[in-house]
Amino acid sequence: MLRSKIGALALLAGIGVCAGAQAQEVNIYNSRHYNTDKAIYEAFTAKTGIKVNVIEGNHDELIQRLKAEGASSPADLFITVDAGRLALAAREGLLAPAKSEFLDKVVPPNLRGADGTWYGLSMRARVIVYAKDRVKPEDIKDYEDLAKPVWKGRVLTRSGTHPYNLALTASMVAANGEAKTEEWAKGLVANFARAPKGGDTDQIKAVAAGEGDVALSNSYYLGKLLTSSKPDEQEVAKKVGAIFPNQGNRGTHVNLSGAGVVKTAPHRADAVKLLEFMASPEAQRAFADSNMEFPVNPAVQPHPALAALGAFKQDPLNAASYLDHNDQALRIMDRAGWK
Amino acid sequence: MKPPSSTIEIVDVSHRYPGHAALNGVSLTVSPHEVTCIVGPSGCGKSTLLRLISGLETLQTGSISIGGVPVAVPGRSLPPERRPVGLMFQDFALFPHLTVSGNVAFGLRHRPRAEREARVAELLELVALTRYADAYPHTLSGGQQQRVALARAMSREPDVLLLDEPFSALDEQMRRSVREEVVQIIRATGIATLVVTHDPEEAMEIGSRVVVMTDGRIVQADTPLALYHNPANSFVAQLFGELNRFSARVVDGHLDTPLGRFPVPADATADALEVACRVEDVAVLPPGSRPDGIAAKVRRTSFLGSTTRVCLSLPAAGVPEGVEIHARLPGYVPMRAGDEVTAAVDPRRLMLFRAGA
Amino acid sequence: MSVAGNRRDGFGLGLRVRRIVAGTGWGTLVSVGLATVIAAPIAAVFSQALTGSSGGLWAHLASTVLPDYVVNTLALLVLVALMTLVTGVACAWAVTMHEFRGRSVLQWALLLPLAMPAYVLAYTYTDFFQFTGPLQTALRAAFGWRKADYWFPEIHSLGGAAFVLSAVLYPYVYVLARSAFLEQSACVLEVSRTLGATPFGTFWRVALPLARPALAAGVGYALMETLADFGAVKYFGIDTFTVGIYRTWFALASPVAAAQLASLLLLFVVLVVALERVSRGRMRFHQTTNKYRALPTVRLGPARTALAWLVCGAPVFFGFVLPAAILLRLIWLGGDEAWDTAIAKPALNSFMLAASGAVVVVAVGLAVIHGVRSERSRLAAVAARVATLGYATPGTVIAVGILICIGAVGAWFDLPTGALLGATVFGILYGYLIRFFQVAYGPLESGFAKVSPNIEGAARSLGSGPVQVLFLVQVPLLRASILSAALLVFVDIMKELPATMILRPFNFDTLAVEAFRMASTERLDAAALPALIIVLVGLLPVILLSRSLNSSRPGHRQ
Repeated sequence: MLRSKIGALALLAGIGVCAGAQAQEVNIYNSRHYNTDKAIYEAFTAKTGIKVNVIEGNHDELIQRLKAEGASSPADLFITVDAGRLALAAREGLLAPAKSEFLDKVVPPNLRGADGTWYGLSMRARVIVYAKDRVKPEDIKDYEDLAKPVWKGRVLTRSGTHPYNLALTASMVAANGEAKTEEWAKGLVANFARAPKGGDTDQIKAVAAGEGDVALSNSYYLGKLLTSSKPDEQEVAKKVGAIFPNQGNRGTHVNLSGAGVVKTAPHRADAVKLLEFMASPEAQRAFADSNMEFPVNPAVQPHPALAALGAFKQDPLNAASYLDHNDQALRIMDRAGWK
Repeated sequence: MKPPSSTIEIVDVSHRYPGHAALNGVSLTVSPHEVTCIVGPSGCGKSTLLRLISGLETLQTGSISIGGVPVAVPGRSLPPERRPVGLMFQDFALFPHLTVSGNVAFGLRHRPRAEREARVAELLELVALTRYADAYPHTLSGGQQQRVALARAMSREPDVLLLDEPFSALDEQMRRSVREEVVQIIRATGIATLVVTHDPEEAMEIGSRVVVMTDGRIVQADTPLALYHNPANSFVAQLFGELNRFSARVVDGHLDTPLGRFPVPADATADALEVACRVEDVAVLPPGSRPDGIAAKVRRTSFLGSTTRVCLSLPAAGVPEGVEIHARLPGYVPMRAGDEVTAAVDPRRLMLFRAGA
Repeated sequence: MSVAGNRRDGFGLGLRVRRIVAGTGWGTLVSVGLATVIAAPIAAVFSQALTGSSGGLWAHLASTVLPDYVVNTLALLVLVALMTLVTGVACAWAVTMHEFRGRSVLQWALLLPLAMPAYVLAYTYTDFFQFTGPLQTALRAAFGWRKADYWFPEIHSLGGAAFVLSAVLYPYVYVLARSAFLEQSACVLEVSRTLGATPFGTFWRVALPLARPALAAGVGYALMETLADFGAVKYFGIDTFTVGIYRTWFALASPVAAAQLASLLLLFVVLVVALERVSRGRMRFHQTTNKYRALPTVRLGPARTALAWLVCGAPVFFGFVLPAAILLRLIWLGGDEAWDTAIAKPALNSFMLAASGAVVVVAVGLAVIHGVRSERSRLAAVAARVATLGYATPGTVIAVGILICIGAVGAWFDLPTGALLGATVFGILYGYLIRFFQVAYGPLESGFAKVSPNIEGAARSLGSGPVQVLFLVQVPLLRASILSAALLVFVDIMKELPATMILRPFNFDTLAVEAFRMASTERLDAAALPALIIVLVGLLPVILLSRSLNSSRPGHRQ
């Protein structure tokens, strides 16, 4: 009896807690899971008094939720970690142009949707990490090199179906065509030191421990290791180096985190305000310093640890092309056995 | 005690379960002050009838009324809790989480507390369980549990009482004494009572009227005495006692049987008949002591305490080893295999059925 | 008699006004209605599978990954079935039929892995056993090995996934095997001994076959959980059907092909369940006696006590002690960063969800089974069976099914369903209801099976309506089953991730979500704290569960 009463109370309390709606608020569907973001929202609320409500989830699930909720969706802002998904949400008609002069001014044109439906907020580069004691940096220049027989049994990656690797492969399909990319993927799989597993940090640690000699990683995971206060991680950072691939040709693959205002946003104006805040130097600084990402706002410099790796040429980012080649990339993974 | 209770009227009730018919046009009336026993083999539909009267099963065709008020017609049926029916189950179905008095008081929840307590006390006294009021059912003996179930079934002063195989969960010795107690209590209240049993002896003992059912039909409904002496067919006859059965033919207005020739009764119409007599109606006498007797030879005897069972061989045309019949004689009978005797049956005790009936 | 004057009030009223009510049909209606609500989202996913076209995707899947999905899934199922069966039965037999030092501790300790989510085990085991983990690092440091110098079992393998899943799922078999052994009549076991069987022969030829329905049910639970698992197998990179559904749906953006895969999966589940029923055939497993005595337990000497501890201790170690220790180590080593995560509010949210979810799921389970039973309706029984399929369905499929359904209902009636999802826990509780209906329904069903239907009949004819029968008779009689059902659902909800993730309202983090958030940003040390708290909060119900299990021997109800 008592148990069921407690349960009923808990249920009521749950509805009560969640139903406390406020007039000034922004509702975000967010597929980024970083604590940095929470801090940025808090700063925004402190500054404007606008409350920020968040649901985090996988971007594909969030797109499904947006679609299912239709016009009654409470979502104002959709934030995700993949340019292709932003383009997808825009193509599905879920986003509306923000019409913000500020955003158009601070976000470079290749890092936003042409119609203003979405804006990049931060960038990451897909770098090649190598073991300093076993690899000479001049031996590896391009992503394409990873498929060469000389790297047999030495390459480490995470799952091929992870969005980071999918986007990289999609960019290679765009550059080299499907057949060549598949050949590359097969060569890469043949060079694996072990089956793909873990996250990017795990690849870097494995390079340091000698499980393999080269690995693909996002720049910010490397940056976090480079700036870690933990002794074991500092040890790892000392043993590895990193190069920006494809500097002699199209440039290093980069991907975006970005956001767009939802078409049916109930708090449209406040959503735009938050979006502008996230592109402002204050928030961009946080992306750069706390999360080791490359800021999109040219006025803000990357974290010194990353800047120390040197300036690099970016593969010109084309979100729509990522989206279009995503399917091909995934099928290439299937055929090549990059699990 | 209480005013005379109501009559149960069951009119032309049929019931089907998926795959088979459980009841086939059953009509029956049970009057107040009457304990009616339904007896029949398992699967004959007797329990279904009880479930229909109590409302645990939904009526399909026919009608059931209690005290002149219809409780079930097809499509419209009072739920069990609204029927003036007390029900007692084979396994007693006592509530294991309630005490004896809690069980008895279960149906009285809506009565004022004082009235409820008085009624429970009264019922427990009736079934002689006052000192077990606070005990839990599983601590009681089978007979005591039985009486709790009875008290509970009567708690709401139902117009009719339905008992489903009430004594079959008890062992042989206890059954007899509990049965007597329970029947006494029921008779004292005068409630119209319907008891379902598979035991014919039990039916004869407690029923003022006995209803024989088989294959979803009522074969015969009458007093125990009438059923015993004038069974409607050999199935009923056999139910209430061991039979000797012969097929017989009508020859020259007489009936030819291994037990001799008998005049054909006026109402016999068929040529081929089945003749039966109860084993206790066969007289076994010294040779030649009765002119109408038939010479027979003893095959074997078994002494059963209050009776002796004798197996006889009668001469018969075309059967070299003779026809076997059985007799049951009171007390100990000093006979041995091979003894020559005379067997005789009073023609009034002969039962005739159409062959195959 | 003094009360004769108002004796008609009890049942006479209806008779007097000659109102004849249709007294039946309600229970079936409620059962079928609720079961429909539970089945609707899965049906919505299927309807997509049947109506849509997946283009040429099938050909691609069939020629590349589909065979892998099938083989991996089957292999995983077989391995998990074997490991959970052997572990669960061996432990149950050891602690039920033998008397040894520490037996009472093991009896409840064997349940502890129930509180451990499979994905936490996957994370911790990976962290501990991988090449860069502390164990291999220490080995290399100690012996000066390099990569090529030694072989170490790869935890990221099919076998590893099966091991991890079995380590947390064997308690289902253990619980049911144990109560089956407890319910067996001592006479049957003793008869076997007098017919010349050894104790092991008795176990093998009598106790085990008698326990078969319970074992099948226990393994069934473990396999359903295995099929629905996404977190652990995904982390281990094992391409199972569920991973395939997920990937086809989202990465390949083909809900139709994904729904078709999901339909195949559920078809398989239905097939297996049906096979078990058919193979059981006409065998009956009811006790033929209701005379119970203390089970004949064997007292073990020191050597055999040690063996018993080894047998029963290993699962506890791998399913609970080791992962918990790894979590503690991560927190210890993580220093300040390990505490850089919100705990209080997610913990409160998790607890609240688990508690209210348990109440909702058990209440609905009771309502459904009450309807199935009170009217003995085939239709209701079939509907309930369909509703239990949600247990084998991955949480994400359920969640998206709910979104589709709620979206459709909202569009139809022009309701602000988005606000409903965004502001209340309605969506999540609905998801839990579908996902864990079976978890509650199973114990309730077996509890009900032990109550004579005549008890309900007696209560009805004593003036109680169907609802009163539920509350006055069934609920008190089934207290233990209801408690077990609620505790199991509670623990399962504490661990649930994918449906919670997508269906929760704004600003509503749970411990599982928080652990996932940290792990997905590659901060295992920060993920360890919420993960450990999930386990700690789950411990209490697990211990309560073991107590209610201990008192479940029939004939000892009071």
